Amino acid sequence: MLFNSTVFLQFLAAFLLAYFAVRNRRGLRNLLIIGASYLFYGWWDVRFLGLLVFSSLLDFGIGLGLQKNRSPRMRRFLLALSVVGNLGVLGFFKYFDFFSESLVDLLAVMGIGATFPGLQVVLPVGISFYTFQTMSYTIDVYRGRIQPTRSLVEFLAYVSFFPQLVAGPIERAERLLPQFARTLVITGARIEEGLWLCVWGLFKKVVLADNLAPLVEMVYSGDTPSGPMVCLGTVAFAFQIYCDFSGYSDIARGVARLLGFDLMINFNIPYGALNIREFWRRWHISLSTWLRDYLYVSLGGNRKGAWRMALNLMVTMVLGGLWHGAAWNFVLWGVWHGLGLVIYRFWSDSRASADSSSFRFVRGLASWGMTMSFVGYGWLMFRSESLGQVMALTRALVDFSVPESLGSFCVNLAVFSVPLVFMQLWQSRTGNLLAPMAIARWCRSLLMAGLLVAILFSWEKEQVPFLYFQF
Amino acid sequence: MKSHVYQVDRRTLAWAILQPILWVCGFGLVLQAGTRFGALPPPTPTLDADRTILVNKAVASRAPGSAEVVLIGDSSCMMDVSARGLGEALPGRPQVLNLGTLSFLDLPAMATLVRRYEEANPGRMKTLVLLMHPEALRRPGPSEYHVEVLRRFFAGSDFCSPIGFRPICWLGREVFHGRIWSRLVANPIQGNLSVRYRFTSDLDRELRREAGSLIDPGVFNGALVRGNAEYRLANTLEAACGIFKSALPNGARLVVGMTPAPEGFVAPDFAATHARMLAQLARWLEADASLDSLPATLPDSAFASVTHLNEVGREAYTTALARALAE
Repeated sequence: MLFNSTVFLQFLAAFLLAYFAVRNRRGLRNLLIIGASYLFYGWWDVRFLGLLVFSSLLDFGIGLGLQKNRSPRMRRFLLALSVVGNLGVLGFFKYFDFFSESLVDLLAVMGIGATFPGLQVVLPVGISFYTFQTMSYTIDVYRGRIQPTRSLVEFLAYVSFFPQLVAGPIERAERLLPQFARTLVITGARIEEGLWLCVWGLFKKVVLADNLAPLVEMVYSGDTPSGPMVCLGTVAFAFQIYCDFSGYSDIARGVARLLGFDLMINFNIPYGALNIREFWRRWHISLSTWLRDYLYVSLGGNRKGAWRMALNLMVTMVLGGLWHGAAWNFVLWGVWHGLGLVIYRFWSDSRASADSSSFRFVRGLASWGMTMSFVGYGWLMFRSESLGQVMALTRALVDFSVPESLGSFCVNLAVFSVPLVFMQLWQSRTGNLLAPMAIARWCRSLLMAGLLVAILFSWEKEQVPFLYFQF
Repeated sequence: MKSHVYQVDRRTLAWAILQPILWVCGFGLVLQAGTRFGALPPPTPTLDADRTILVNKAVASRAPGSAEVVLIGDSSCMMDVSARGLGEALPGRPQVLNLGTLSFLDLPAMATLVRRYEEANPGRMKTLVLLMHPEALRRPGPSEYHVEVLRRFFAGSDFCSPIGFRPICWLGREVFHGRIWSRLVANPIQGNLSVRYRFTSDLDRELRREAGSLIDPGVFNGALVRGNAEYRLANTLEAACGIFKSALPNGARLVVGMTPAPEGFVAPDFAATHARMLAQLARWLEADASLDSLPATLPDSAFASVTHLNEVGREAYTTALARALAE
């Protein structure tokens, strides 16, 4: 069930009515959430539910096991069981074909002919998100950061909570799980905020991202275009992927807010970042903090010297790249960002602070330009369908010929990116991601109506799935 | 135990939800009023490839012109013949206009284009060439959607497809798209044609520049193509021919032909089928001549798809058509 589908709107309306009806029964509320979430998830393929239940039961059981067992060896064994179980499922469904094909290619390079039948496994929607979410629970219990829950119902609701089940934010048990155990307060202001987030998220997805998609397709499929088109196509993709993914996160947060829940902020004006480190603090925050806390820190973080820190960063970013998809261009994207972070780390450590300079604005602008160019080239790697295409598009960057359709391309790009730029500038200036909530109600209503009209006029019978569903 | 508590002032919340909805309805009303009172420009729904082609052909048919030879037919007529090339190859170098559209239109809809051209340019048309692909001739009926798009364009009214959610039509979705949006922003083209024509504006420009002809950029691969190559004339065609014939202006002659199919796709006896179909079609249309000398098939390498020639094939076919028309 896609957020941008009529069936989801019907589902949500029915759910909200049922949710209102169970307002006096907390146990029933959580059961209702589980039932609705399983319906939501099973809508794609009912067989996928088995994996969701497996992952939930495994980590619930291991959580209790970790509480009961004090022996470090046994606790390590239980933790390993959770990690192997979750990553095993993820590895099989997501990476089996990729690694078997890569092995065959490697053997072929070494002159050894081998065939390995690919399983052509269907990737269950959202598997990367909920396996990371459940895994974080057992790791936190193991580390003693949280107490395991004794309520299976609350845990099942936490893992399957439909607003964020298939594309995040990847919520920590520490934040979300206690919300299932308490009485929630739904105020008028929270409902208004929830509605705003839903409408703004839907606008970003249906109007901006889906209309930018054909421009991106124009550049990244078919014949290799010229340099200006590669640049503009990549800018279009940068906006598309941001609107698509942050649109989903906003709808997730909005729906959760309508139910009285709080989900974390997943994007915080990432294209306003002045360096690559800041970019990763603003982009897909729930994943980047997950990787930092559970991978980078576990590897030693920056506690074992500069070179070990660099290696840890590289490993974290490469695995982060691979998390996005089983393909070499995602690995390359991870390497690219890993290198960027390492270089920035060394450079910023060696730099004397000179923030009082009168050239601060110019320096800021230059930093922003460099950061966005770096991120942009990363998107080129990310969007390319093969390493060959990455090379071809990179070579095309020095072809300065101007195609006839450049004008129409620029107009389309401007029309579908300017609303986002304006909103982000507004949010940035006010320091408030919910800036529209601070203006007069009639003004906000007018703005919301404009977004609704654009959504209704762009609404297609065939919905375009969210990009991050494939991850 | 309480699950959740609503601390909501119902009136404030209702107003917060209703207000944007009222604005949306107000916007819809403004659009509808703009249409009713003629404050908005007439619809030009060039929003995708099909509608751009239909609008372009409709505009071309009612514009003053000097074409003496008018081509009409399905998309194979538009893609397989270069109107400019044909004009240059014909004796006396007459002006040629290609009004070939899409196989989704039937002969009565094509007849509308012919009538419009005659109304705008009385007595100008000397030869009307109808070119159809065997695929189009076996279609039992037109696409109501495409026929309606053309009819509404000529009527100057907006067409909201019945497939969609009706209230969105009432809010003026098509009014906005067809009268405002399409004039401001060229839409990206999807599908096969997008390889050559990126935006609707490119397609429109090419159609104007080439007197109504286009090039299909596709690559035909006979090994991959599956389909039914048992061609025949649809039962409904005879009645449609009568309507089409009635649109022929006085003094103009009607010439009918069939565009080719890929050699590797059709049955070995296709040439005989082709000749039989053409003869029957010419009889139903009471055509002044039929283009029997045109090839029924061409090598697969000359094709972009089962129904369209590629650029090389188009050049050869245009020359063959000029020769056949000159005979």
